[in-house]
Amino acid sequence: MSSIARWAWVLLVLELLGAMAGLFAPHERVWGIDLGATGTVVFGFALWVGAWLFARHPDAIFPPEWSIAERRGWAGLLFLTLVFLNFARFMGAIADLDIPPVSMRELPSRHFLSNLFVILIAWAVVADTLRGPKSELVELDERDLRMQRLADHAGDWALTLAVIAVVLLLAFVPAQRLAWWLMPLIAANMLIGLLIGRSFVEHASLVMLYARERR
Amino acid sequence: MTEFAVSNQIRQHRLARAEMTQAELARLCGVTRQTIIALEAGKYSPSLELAFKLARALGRNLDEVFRYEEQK
Repeated sequence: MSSIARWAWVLLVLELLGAMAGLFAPHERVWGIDLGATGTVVFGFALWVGAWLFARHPDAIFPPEWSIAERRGWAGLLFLTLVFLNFARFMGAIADLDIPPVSMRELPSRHFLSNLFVILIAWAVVADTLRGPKSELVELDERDLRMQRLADHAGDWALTLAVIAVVLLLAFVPAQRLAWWLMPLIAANMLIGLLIGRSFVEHASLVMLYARERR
Repeated sequence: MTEFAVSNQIRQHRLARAEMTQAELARLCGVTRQTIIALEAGKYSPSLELAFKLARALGRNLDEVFRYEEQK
């Protein structure tokens, strides 16, 4: 492993630690330090340095057999994991409320929306950086599109199975046990969760398909 | 039942052609270099259109570049 690749791994670990602190750190300061804000700054800093490093040495970080589509697939999987963790934390915060929310204004969403905004902006920047040198004209070819189609199918299957599971839950679990989940705002958020899950399965399938083809 | 598979001689013909690089062949055929790597490693079977493009870029007939052979 080259020294640049080692630095890339160090930055990736810093990004993940920063993101985890940004998402899960307590609101109270620890020894006078706001861990959440510090984590977000570390995440942003490691991300920008990583993007700069990749722009200068694209082939030193990723193996040459990884196409741009595959590199983007890995980035997508990483950022979707962060989106999913942010969503899980949001649902946890809703569950902690004494009175279930009945209007959008009662949702504790401000902090989570700002986290989501940072994650999505970072994802867009990384996806653009992964495009590589502008002289490299072909980003997607028939092999990448075939992989994408198969991964799409996997995502559709996952969503179909999840919908069937929800139907079975609604049919067989007593209504009073599902009362919290069936409140309109909670149910709406759970539907968003299903879409995040579908996208996660799609990206995970994509990177697995590329890895399996190389074996 | 006998199983058949597509094999290719892309690497041999590419190297015979003034050591054409994978990137150059990819550019001529409008695919990524990673697809050429996968093709040469026998990990990917191209579409008919890409097979024709590859044969043309290598200056060969299709059956000189690709074979449909019994699997060992």
